[in-house]
Formats: sequence, structure tokens, C-alpha cells
Amino acid sequence: MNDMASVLDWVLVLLGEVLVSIGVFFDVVAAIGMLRFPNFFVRLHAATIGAIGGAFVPLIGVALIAAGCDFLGPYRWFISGAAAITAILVLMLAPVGSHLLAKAAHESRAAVVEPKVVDFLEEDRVRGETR
Amino acid sequence: MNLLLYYVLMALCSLGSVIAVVFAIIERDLLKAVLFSAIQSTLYAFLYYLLMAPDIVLTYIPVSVGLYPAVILFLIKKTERFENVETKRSVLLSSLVLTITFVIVSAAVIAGRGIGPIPTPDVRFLAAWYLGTTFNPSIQLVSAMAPEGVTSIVWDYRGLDTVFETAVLFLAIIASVALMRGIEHKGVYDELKHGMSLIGKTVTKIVVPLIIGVGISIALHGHLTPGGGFQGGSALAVAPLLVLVIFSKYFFDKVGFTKGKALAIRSSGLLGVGLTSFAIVIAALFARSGAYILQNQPRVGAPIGFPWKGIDGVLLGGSLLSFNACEAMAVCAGFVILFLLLAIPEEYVRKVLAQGGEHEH
Repeated sequence: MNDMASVLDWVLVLLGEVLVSIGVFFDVVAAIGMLRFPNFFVRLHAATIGAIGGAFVPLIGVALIAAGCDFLGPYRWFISGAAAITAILVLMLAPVGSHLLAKAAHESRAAVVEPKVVDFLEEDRVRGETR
Repeated sequence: MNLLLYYVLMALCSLGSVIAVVFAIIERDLLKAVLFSAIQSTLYAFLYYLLMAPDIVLTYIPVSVGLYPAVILFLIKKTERFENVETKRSVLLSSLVLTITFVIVSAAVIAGRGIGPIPTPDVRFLAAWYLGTTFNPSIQLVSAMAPEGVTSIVWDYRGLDTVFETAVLFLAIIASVALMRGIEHKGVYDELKHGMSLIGKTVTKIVVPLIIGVGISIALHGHLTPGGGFQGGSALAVAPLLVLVIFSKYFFDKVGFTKGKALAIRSSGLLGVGLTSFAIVIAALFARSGAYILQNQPRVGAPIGFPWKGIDGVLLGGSLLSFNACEAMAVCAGFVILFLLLAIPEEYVRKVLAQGGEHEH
């Protein structure tokens, strides 16, 4: 029974470490994107990669690692729960934040869409179909 | 070695905050100046953390990184974004010279032991006293009987200080209410016209209850874990601020939450703080025994105290729980009043002022 529990702990810690590693990868990708992408809207896309892949995923990993750390005693559930709740909040708030930023930047024309392949929102606005 | 690391980190934080302040002063784009000011606040929060004051960090971050820049941004929105006064080179130079002189002089004073011996990291007598008496059932006559040391000091050992600090904050809010008296601005909320996009509104509807839950738990758990009334109240105030920004001010008119109602909540919170301060005195009047103002636990010659233990040994924290709950109500409602006042359009205020006299109610 005790052996089973420690095997489960190991699996949790390993899974968590894999998730944290994935997070590191996404953070590097997001940083490169922030530096190399040409305009505001694509850079915002890179920032969202950093928020979801680089914050949500590793936070879930931290929750799993904490849940597998037996030496923390009952406090592991505090750390694990806090990390999971933070992850869920990031998952909900990061997309909305970037959506509102993109919408505001597009409507106020603070950011130029250049280079541009297609801009349906602009076409809608020209036709008067947006509010 | 470890201590040296602390001092180096603290010195770096202080230096960084000075640089941020200089940038905040010379920056002509006020939005960027607010950002620099927020950087300075973040560094200060880290300094407080290094000084081992986690509860101050908890208050400092929402207030100085969240609320304070938000208020300033509101103000910038109403006035102008760019300063048209060029910061003179002489002003900049003299302020730099002043800052550097101040740093050198204070370093010299500290190096010359001008402020007395530098404290050792060992537990000193005062700290040992607080640690030994904050929660100690074996010496109940001098103990605060609540496990959170900082909240105990704030509301029990140094309770009178906190009451007067609260009074200062609420005098400021009363002053702003008095300044804006007679200026009532109402509008009809239109789902399509006001506020941000549907996505933003929907997620705000999900997040606001979460923020309220966190705020209440910080306030009501303040006698057990870091937190307390002021910290919980500031966290709670973020929820109405979000609604104000995402849904617009007119949404408050639609749900019928007016400045008057916020004032009523604030006043009942303050009344609760006052009643808790005098509760033991009033009880002692009936029991014909001695009592102190702001008394929490029984003391020598004053045998009545708040209950500190509930059913099944749950820790109630005596008067601290009541103080925290009332203070959170008052702080949250006070901030909401300020937000509602700041959300009134400037043209409208000008119009009312130009008419002279006060509006009929």
C-alpha cells in the first residue's frame, strides 16, 4: 500500500516536471516571437503563447509536483490548490486581456496592421457592419 | 554571508526605485510615468518582503500597483496625457545632486553608527515578547490569543494606532465626498453602447465572484493567516473597479448601487469598528467590573473578554475577527465611493459648477 502511494507520488512529480519543461519551451518560443514578429497583433499572439503555454501549463505542473511531494505534509495540498486556482484564473483572464487589447488597438487605430494579408474587421468597418 | 545577500538585494531595490522615480518625473508621457511609478512600487514591495513584512506586501501590491495607478489613469483620462511643461535641465540636475547627497549622507550616518547599532538577525527582546504572548493559552492574562502576530499587533497591542489610521483614511474620503456634493450624474445603461465587448463582459461576470471570494477570505482569515481587514477590503474593491471599467458607470445606476448606498455600507463598517472597540466597556457596565477601551482578552482587573475559542476548538481570534470584517466593509465601500466620484465626466462637473449653487434633490 505504501509502495503504491510512493509510486503514484513519483508519477505525479515526473508528469509535473514534463509540464514545466513544456512551459519553458513555450516561454522561449514566445520570447523569440515577441522580438521577431512584425506588428502589434502578431506580437500579441506571441504574448498569448507565453501566457497559456508558458504560464498555465507549468502552473498545472507545479500543482502536480506539489501534490507528489510527500515531505511537505498537509501543506502540499495548499501549494497544489493555490497553483491550480492560479492556473485556471490565467486560463480565463489571459485570452480576454489579449482580446480586449487587440480590439481596442484595432478600433482606435493605435496599431497599424502592416504587413497585412487580409483584415476582415477593417472591411466590415468600411461597410458599416460593426457597432 | 546570507545577511550580505539581503543587504545587496535591498540596496539594488532602493537604487532601482530611485531610478524609476527619476524616470517618472522626467517622462513627459504621463501614461509611461505611471508605469515607472508602478515599477518603483513593485521594487518597494520587494523591499518590504526582504524586510520580512509579508502582510504589508499583501496590502502594498493591490493598492500601489493596482488601485493607485488606476486612479491616476482615470485622472489622466480627464485631463491631458502629455505634459507640455518641459522639465528643465537645471531642475533635473539639482534633484539628482540632492538624491546623491542624501544617499551619501545617510550611508555616512549609518557607517558612523549614527543611528545606533545595526540590529542583529537574532530574536530581540521585543520580538521575543510578541512571539511569546501572541498565542499562549498558559498565560492568557497577557496573551492576544490569536495566532497571526501582525493582525494581533495591529488590532490588539497597538489597536488605538490602527483606529486613528482608519480615521485619517476615512476623513480623506469624506473630504472628497464633500468636494463633489450635489453633483449627481446618472444615465441609462445600454448593453450595446456602453462598456467593452461581450467577451470581456462575460469573463468579468465569472471573475468578479472569484475576486469577492478571495477578498472575503483574506479579511475573515486575517486572524489566522497573513491578511486582514484593510488587505481584504482593498482586494474586494478591485471587483467593483472591474465592473466600472468593463461595464461602464451606468451599469451601477441600472442595478441601483449608488454612492449613498456605498456610504451606508462604509458607515456601518465604521460603526462596527467603533462598537467592537467599546463592546467590552459596555458589557462591563452591566457586570460592574473594570474594562479597557479596545480590550480583546481578559486582563488583570478587567475579567471580561471576547471568546477566542469556538465549537471544536476553532480559533475565533477574539475582537480581531469582528474588527477585520467591519474594516473590510468600510475600506471596500470607501474605495467604491472614490471610483464612482472619479467616473463622473469632467464636462458634467464643469457644467454643474458653472451653474453655481447646488442641485435640488
